[in-house]
Amino acid sequence: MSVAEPPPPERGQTADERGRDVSAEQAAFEGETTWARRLVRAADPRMLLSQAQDYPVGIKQFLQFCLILVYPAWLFLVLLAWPIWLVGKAFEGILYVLFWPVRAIHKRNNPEEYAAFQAELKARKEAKKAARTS
Amino acid sequence: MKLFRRRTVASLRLDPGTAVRPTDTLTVTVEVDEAVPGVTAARIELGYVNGFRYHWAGKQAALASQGQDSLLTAGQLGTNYGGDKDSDAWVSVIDAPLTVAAGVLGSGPQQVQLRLPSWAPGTAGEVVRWEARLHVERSGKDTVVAESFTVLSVAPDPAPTSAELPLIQGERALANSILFEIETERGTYRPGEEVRGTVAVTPRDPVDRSALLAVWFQQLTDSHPVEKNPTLGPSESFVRPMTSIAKDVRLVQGQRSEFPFALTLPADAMPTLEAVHSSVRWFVQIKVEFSGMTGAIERAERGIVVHTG
Repeated sequence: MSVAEPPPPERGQTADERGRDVSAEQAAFEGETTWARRLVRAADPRMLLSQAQDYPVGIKQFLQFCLILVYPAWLFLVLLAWPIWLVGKAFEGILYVLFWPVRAIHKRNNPEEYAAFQAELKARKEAKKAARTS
Repeated sequence: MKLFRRRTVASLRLDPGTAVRPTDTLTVTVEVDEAVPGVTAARIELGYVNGFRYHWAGKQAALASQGQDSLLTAGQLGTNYGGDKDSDAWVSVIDAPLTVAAGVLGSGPQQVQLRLPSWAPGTAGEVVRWEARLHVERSGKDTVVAESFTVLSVAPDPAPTSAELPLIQGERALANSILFEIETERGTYRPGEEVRGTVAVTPRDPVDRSALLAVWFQQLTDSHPVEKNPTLGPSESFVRPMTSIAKDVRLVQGQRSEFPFALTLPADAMPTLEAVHSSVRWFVQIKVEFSGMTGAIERAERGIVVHTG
């Protein structure tokens, strides 16, 4: 025999179910694919101000005030990030060339493991790209 | 702050006075001491106070809070480390109106019968606390009179077998070289009952250290508040101490070794439940600790269902 009863109230969502908890400005910044565009997004003051989102009233305004104060320094760091990134990329290239014999030995002695490692690197890169665009 | 608190206008009596099960009918008797004027509505509510954890400030993955969960910055000014708070919320499950004549809740007894729905979660410590509440809407602050009662959680029907409950393993990037098979005799248990089962371990890599196998209960409380920002991941607690089931074991790569285990659930264990703002899950967790200072610790767990009724 069925008895009429109220439907169960809808439960909320866990942090995992809700997805990444970031502001819209930060999500747009992370979604950019090129470094130049990311720098432009990072230099936007709204991106910095969005860091104070979801704080209780009062604290949020105080944080925004502090963030406005540090904005010139932030802009300077963002501009500094560009040459630092270039140096890093150059360093990566140097290491790539320097370690070429190591990879060649690995490929010759243990081709299966080498292929698996390369596939994993590729998968990681793809996953990072997918996470950025989702 | 007694100055601003309204005088208790009524008392509640519940029948049965003992613990009830979902689908049981509860008779609530309201004894109003003297007539209450200026009332717009009055009702009896059955519901529960649902405890949960939430992140009280800021976006969890904000760039500005990167690295704040590091132990190095714990408790430092300007970080929101420890920014999670405990809170609770009232979840109204079922209600019935009381007779209010011409804005007056008359003195004397009034009785309502309320049936607990089949999906009612069981009483569980600070997570689910059931109450019958008299709610009187009147000018100024509403009057609420509450009386707590206990709801027992019944075992799911049909009861799940151990194999149907989740087996969680291999979630860590490191210390992930053993294949675990954990089976308990049944899937559902009451608090205070002994959980018996077997664990089989098969190392995938060569093993050069002896191992200790131990077992304990893991209780996970997931917070999923409807409005507030939930904490990252569940709150984890264990029933201490761990029970060793095998010591100085020499595991061999590719060879399956099976060990029996038995451990008793605490008598006051919360039942497995899913409420609106939080849920409770139980697991039997097996740990394999390899000897030595640098010995890895590998773990896996099998879900069990705990019910109180």
